[in-house]
Amino acid sequence: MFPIRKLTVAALAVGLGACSGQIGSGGAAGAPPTGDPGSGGTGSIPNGGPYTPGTVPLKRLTKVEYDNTVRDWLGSKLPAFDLPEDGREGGFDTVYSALQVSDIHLIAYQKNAEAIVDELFATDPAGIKKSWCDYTAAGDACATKIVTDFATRAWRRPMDKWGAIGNGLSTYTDLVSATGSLAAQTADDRLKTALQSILISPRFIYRFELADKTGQLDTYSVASRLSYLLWSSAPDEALLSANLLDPMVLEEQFLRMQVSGKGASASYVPKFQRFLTRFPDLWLSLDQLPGLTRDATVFPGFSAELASDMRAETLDYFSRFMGMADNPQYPHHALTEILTASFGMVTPRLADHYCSVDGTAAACGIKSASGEVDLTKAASPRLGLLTQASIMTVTGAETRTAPVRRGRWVLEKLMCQSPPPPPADATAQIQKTQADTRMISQRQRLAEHRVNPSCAACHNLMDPIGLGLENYDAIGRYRTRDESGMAIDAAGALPDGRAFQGAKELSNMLAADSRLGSCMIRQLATNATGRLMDAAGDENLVASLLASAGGKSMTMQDALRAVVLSEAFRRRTAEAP
Amino acid sequence: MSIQERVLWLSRRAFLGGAGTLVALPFLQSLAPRRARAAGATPPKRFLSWYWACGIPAIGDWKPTTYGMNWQPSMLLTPLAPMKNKVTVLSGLKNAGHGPDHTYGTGAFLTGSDFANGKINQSIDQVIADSMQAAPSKPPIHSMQLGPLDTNCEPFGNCGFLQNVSFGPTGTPITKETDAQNAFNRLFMGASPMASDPAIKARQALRKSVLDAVNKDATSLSGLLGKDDKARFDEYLTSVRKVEDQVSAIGAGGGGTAMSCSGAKMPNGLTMTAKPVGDLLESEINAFTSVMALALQCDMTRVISFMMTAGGTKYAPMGYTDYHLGITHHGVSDWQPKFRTVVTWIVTKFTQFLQQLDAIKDVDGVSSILDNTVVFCSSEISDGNRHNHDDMPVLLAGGLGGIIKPGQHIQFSKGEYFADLFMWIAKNMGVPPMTKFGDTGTGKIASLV
Repeated sequence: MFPIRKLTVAALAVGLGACSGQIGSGGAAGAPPTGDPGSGGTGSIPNGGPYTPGTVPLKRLTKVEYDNTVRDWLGSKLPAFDLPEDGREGGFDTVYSALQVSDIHLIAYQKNAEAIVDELFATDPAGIKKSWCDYTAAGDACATKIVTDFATRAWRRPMDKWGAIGNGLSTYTDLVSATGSLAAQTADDRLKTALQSILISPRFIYRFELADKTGQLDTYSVASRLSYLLWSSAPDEALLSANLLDPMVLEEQFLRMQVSGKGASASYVPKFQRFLTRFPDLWLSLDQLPGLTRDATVFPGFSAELASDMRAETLDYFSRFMGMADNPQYPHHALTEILTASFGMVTPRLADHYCSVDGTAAACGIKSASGEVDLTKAASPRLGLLTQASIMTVTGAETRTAPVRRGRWVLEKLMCQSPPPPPADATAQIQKTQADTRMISQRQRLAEHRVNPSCAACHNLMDPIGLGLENYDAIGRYRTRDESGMAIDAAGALPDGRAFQGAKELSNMLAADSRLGSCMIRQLATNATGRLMDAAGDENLVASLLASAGGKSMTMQDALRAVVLSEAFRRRTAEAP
Repeated sequence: MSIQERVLWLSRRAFLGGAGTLVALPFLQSLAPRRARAAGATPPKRFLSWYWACGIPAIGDWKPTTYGMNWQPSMLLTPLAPMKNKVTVLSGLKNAGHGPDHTYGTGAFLTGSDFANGKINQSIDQVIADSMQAAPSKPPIHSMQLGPLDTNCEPFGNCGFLQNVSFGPTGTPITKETDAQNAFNRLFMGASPMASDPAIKARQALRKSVLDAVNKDATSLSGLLGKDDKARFDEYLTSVRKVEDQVSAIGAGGGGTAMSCSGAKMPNGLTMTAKPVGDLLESEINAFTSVMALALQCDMTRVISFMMTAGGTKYAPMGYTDYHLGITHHGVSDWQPKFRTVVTWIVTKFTQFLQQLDAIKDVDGVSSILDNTVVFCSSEISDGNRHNHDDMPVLLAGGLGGIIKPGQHIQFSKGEYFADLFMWIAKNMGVPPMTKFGDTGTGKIASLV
């Protein structure tokens, strides 16, 4: 049976009054779990409670992973055909429960396999075919070797490491045999058929994970986990031949896969750029920017190019937080600084955009010639991630700001609190035919719908955050008057009632909140393990990950390392005997 | 790729741009069963569902004021007038679900689930399609799930529910095809109009070998997997077997019944002109309805679930730039006229689809495809602002081979659910009798009069 997410079920219970929805754990959103969030100390985090690594049932490759896998390995230049878009859970496309397989997938896999194998025979872009023995003359032994090597690479584990489920190879080698089921076909057609089968095989489409009785995953399972996390692609030879059960080796590989070169010449491994793009794209909803539209009469300056520049700014900013250990130009930054850092880089077009309303380059936080962001000046109205045009735009609406969406985004993405959807009949109480052309501020408008207790329970959490961000319009420009021409009052409040004035105060307040760190760990772990961290004990698991990452002072590197070295990544809950 | 193979997978743009008419006669003749259209042959029955998202502005705008055969189209049903005598308007039915909302309403749409136990059951289209596959003259494609891509579901609820209305035996959502070109390619497995019969057969034979091999490996694997893995792996096995069935049927030369689709062409009245991205909605829907008509005409499948729109749909053809869900909620000044315009357009597109089906003669040479089909058309909620699941707006189009006498407006008043209607439909399509369906179907509907 298809499980219904706990979160959504919890949402149903919300009628009047309570508004709960801590992602994964059901904690009350109105108050921090324990202790004083303002102190930000790790001592207030619940720690030491029991947890299990969790169970991630058989997961298929995502569309992105499938694409990268065939491209990296076979050098295919073909576009991926027809694979449907993947569903998402918790924002990520890597969560198993959203990765179904249906007949349209199978048809697409078959079509792709035919095209890829034809390409391999015709142009051999990665030089694979040229190393083959002459299967047309040499008989079954040669063809069998080609099939075995191809399958070993495709299926990401040696043939003798399939354990109790067996490697199934004979089914595929039978296809190439001159005396097998396809004896009547040409040697070319026999081999093509076998290679296509290998690419459609469940052993390729799914990531089979083998574990011992205690739940310890074998090294090949960990290799694939690590590779699909950091590269969105299959493990390379070095990773497959490393003993990843040794934590030291695992950490070495973890670093090798991120950075190549030493000192000032170090750079990110090209395949690691996929993580640096994919994770922030999905975590922060940046992938909505391509294709996002704005009403041209209200925002004539908005364009696809500008949206692309906005996304690029945030991706670059995120990658600076990852950092490289021995490259002084790319230091690791504490993760909490992501909300308060004053650096970055923008294109000239985005610089103009920021400064079009802000006035002078200094005031709008851009060193005009270089596009370098400098938000250290007190006059700068921006700070850190939250006020970047990308975030203010993906949380905006066509013609105006959407404070509710902004509040929800902050709670969900940074605090891991997810207010449920509106209690359905609450909207009935809004005057349906009311002509709302009044010249009132968003604050006044939203205050009205918070009068209703059934709406207020949740909107009291979201709206005050969003209203505190009203100084940024729906395409991220600073402003002092809103759509109605009203002067903006940027007073806001967090769910626990602490008040703030404007985005900079909000960012500082969130940066000091212990929930920011545990939320980031939770987002990373969700993406890395492929399961929503909503099982019993996961709250303790997240707390333990946070502690091993170094708590408040952790860097993105620390956080990712903690996840990769954790039990949740290297083990699974042992099946009951 | 060879030239033939390039033709094999027509580009999406070419298709949406009007090149869909590449579906040339020689190809269709080559695929057509050798059995000629037999006078007096009994046409197969078909089940379609047509879903649109977010309901209607108000039931009063929808519901005709008189019952029986003499009902007059209401404000929202005005476009239906030319097809009035082929459609039954059903008032007073309830959708299941769990509280008045979108997510569970969509999950319940074809399943009748109330989610009280946290589970969802198999949807009625799958029940009907499974039963058809057990018959000797089964169509090559078990069922199709279609609808334009909805990329914006996540802010609104659970995508597994909001993006799908068909659910398999274990309650797994069946991913819908969101690209009309892919759906078209799938109908004939990309067989080229230029390929001769032997070429198609040779290709299909090799494809079958591939599927046989992976099926064999997968079947033996399945027995060795742990419980959690096996539950997910069943999706793969089922899918491989469905595709094998289709490949076998095409290798053998066409659809499942004595129907000839040699006269098939893209139905008239399409406006598949290439438009800039963002205005593609109407073109896409036209392309989907053409594929559906073609699939039925060639008897490639007899069960289709179509999701026309979603909460995240933007009605760019009408000049509305915000999400539809936004139009249907809250007190924005001009929402109600916009909402009415959108629903009127939805009814217009539905009517055009019915006209397409009604213009195609069925195998008996007398009735139309529509006469032997039933199309269940509704939304997950009734009033877009109230989200209520009772008093649903429902159209039932077609005659189901003389079983339905269309053209009526029927009022239900005993708390009948969609699931009760589905039980009645299933029974009349040869599904073994059920005493209940989903959590809400108890057999309350004995006839449609």
